[in-house]
Amino acid sequence: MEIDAKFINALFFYLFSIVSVIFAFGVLFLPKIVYAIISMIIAFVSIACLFVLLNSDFLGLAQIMIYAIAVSILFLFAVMLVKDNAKFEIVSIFSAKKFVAAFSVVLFFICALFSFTNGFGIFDKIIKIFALQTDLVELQIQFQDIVCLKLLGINLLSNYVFAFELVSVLILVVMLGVAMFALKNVNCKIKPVEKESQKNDI
Amino acid sequence: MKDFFVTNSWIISFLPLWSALLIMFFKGLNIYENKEITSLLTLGASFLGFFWSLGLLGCCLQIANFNYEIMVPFLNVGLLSLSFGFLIDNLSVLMLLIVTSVSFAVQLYSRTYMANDKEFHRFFVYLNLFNFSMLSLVMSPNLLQMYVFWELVGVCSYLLIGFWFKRPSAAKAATKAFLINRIGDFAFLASICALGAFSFWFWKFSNVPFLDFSALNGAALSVLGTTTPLVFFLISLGFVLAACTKSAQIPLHVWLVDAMEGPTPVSALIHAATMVAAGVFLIARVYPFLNYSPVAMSIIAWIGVLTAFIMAVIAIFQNDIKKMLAFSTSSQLGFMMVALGVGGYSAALFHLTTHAYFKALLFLCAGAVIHSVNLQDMRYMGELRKSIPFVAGCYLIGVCAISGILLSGFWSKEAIFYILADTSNFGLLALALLSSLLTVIYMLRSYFMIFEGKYNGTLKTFHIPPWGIKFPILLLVMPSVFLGWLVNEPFKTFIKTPLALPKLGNYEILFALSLIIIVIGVLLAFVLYYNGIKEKIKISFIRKFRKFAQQGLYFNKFYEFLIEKLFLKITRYAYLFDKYLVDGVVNFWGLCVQVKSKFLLFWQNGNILSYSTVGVAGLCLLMVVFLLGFSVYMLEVWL
Amino acid sequence: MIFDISLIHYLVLALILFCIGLLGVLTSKNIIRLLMCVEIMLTSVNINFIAFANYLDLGNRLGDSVAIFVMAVSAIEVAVGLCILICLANYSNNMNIEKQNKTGGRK
Repeated sequence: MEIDAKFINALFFYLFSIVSVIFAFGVLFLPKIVYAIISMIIAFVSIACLFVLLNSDFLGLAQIMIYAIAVSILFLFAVMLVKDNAKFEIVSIFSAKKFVAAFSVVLFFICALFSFTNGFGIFDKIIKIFALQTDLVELQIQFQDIVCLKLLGINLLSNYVFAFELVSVLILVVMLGVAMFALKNVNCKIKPVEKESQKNDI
Repeated sequence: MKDFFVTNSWIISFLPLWSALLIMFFKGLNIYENKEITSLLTLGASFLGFFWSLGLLGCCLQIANFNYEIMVPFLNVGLLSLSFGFLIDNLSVLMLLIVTSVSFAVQLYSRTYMANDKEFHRFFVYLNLFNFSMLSLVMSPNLLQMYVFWELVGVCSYLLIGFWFKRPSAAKAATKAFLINRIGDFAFLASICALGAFSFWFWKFSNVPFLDFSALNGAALSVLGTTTPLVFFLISLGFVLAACTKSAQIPLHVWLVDAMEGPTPVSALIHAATMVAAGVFLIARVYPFLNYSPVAMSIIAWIGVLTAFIMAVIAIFQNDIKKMLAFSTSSQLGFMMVALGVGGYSAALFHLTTHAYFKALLFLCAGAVIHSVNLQDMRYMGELRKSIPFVAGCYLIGVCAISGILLSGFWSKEAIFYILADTSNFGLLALALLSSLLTVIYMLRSYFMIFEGKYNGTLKTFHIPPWGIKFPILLLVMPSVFLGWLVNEPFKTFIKTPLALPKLGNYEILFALSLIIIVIGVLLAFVLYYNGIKEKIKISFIRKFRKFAQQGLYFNKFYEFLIEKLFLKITRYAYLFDKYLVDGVVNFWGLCVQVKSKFLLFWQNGNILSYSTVGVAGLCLLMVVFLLGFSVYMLEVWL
Repeated sequence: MIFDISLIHYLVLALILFCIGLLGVLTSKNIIRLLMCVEIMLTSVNINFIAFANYLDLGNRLGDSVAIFVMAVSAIEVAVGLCILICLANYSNNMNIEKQNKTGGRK
């Protein structure tokens, strides 16, 4: 039975991770921006499922609500508001800058992997960077009566209550700031550089 | 009062500097155009300096071996500590008197002589600058400060020779003088450095300021102790070379003749009386040092006597009045050198003193003549005694003084002959006597050509010299006449040879000999030149020699040959070396930087993406480095 | 065992997503796409937090709380970013980042 649970767990992990990676690549490489947004929504939903697999159901829901719905709608509104007549070049067009960027990202990947896995297992005998060997099942049995959401609420309102309040203030400030910023530009309609740039383009 | 004069003696040299700055400042701001203010400032500075020097002289006469020195620390680098200051002793007081008095007379003269020149103020600024440098030079307490003012004097000379720089010949002469003086300056500096280096610990331990004149004796011993005599000889040779360039001795005399392109007062002040004497002064200052190298001393003596002789020979055949006087100056400086070379310290400085006055007198008279006839060539003069009798008389006094016809030159030359005979250098003595004979001949020849005989020129009306020109000449006549009689005996005690003086024997025959020489010279000059110069001697050998001598023995041609045929060829190869090797290296590094900057420029394009890409790439490289180091460390620990 | 899902699997997944996001940030020309890539990077960080909470900190799950804060901040960031985007669109009518080179450098 344990083996079965593990198997199903692994199956869903691989499924959702492959889907998220593929659709994350979609965000990069899909030529149309709307398609990219939809692919991002799918990637976020699958990541939310991974959160559920990690025993935090509330965060999965929050992920879906915040990322997959609210943020995506914001993006869609932005796409609608901005008249984007620039051509969508695909990232794969070669240039020196992109080559350097890709190369450094790959290097970053290898380095990070090297440090996660104790130098691909070379230093296993010498040093352990993470104590990865904990027995999950035992722990789950030990803490089976603890609900994730309850813990989250206790943490937020005891340990992190100050940060929590600060975040709420931050959100308020940003809301006001964004509104002011947008309204100011609408009212004043100062577009001095536009003409210049158009002249330059001509 | 006495202390006041001595402790503030730096003011003598700073007065001309202040007046130069004032003239520059006020003239530059167009505050005044009045030439009187300029000349009054200058004359006041010189006169006050002369007055002050007289005060100093009083102090020196009261106290035997007077020596006052003030040092201000100037530079302390590690063990080396340099100081500037001023030194008042008998020698510097003598030089101060000469320089201030001659420059006072010359400035008074040029106030009239240069009155119609557009650049009147500039001329006086230069003169003041020169006075400042020369007075500081003679008051320098150490070699390094002396070198600094030595260079400044050279610069002033350059500026004044090229005063009429719009004339190509003047500009060329100025450059030539400057360049040739560089040789001597370089030798001087090299010698100072070598001396300082080899006797460094002596100066450290002896508690005397670095390179001070007062301890040169000990420094010489310490140099001899640390190095070979050859090095010592080379150091001495550097000083000798420096003195030879400044004092226009063979073979570096060529600049002095061309320096006559400058205004005549400049020739009188700088290129006859004061600056060219700086070489002799240098030798006198470093005399305690040079005394340890007999070879260098005999080199000085032989250079001196050869210069005296050869320049006298050349002067006989010169037709240009100022050039003739320039060769004569060179010759007289040769007399001083020969005296120094055999140890006649006092005699040399005595001759320097008398020479300063009578040569300045001669130059000022020549200037007056040029002023009235508008010519420099003596062949087109003659019979001028009738039109400008005053100048003729003064010129005759100068001629008598320089040739030693019983005026001041007689006594100083006599002192030199005495010392030559006393040290039994009879070869030198013979040559010196011969040069003295030639001096009588060429000076009388010039007098006859200018003032006697028939007039050969075209100009009908002469410019009669005003009192502004006559008065300074008169001022200089007095010392030329009386200095020899009055100062002859006191001078020997005033300026003492630093080392033990050999006892003067009684050479009355020498006295008679010089009188005989004078008589012979005067007679010869009368026979040859009284009725104007005519090509009396038709022997072709003499003619050829005349041409040869008129060109100054082709020294200039020789240098031209040396530079064109040898030096320029070397420089051609040096140019190739410079172009391909030195420039190549430099350009290669420049190219590297260019390539690098092209690379950086590609990323520095104002685009935020480029910047973030570079940032991430740098981060990744840091990670790689860190992880490599970490794994190497780990593997070492493990193994 | 390949089916034995442990912390390292989640870490590698997060790393892959982070790298994808980073690549997007460095290479995309469209500002909207760039913001989306930033979102992906933040989410991958969230995966790390929750994975650590699940595997190493089961009794407290502090990572969850941090993930909440990250989400809040990322939502704020999107709001501000899109506001700037719209202002920029009013201003220059050009969404290509490579044309926005007013920060100096080579002209």
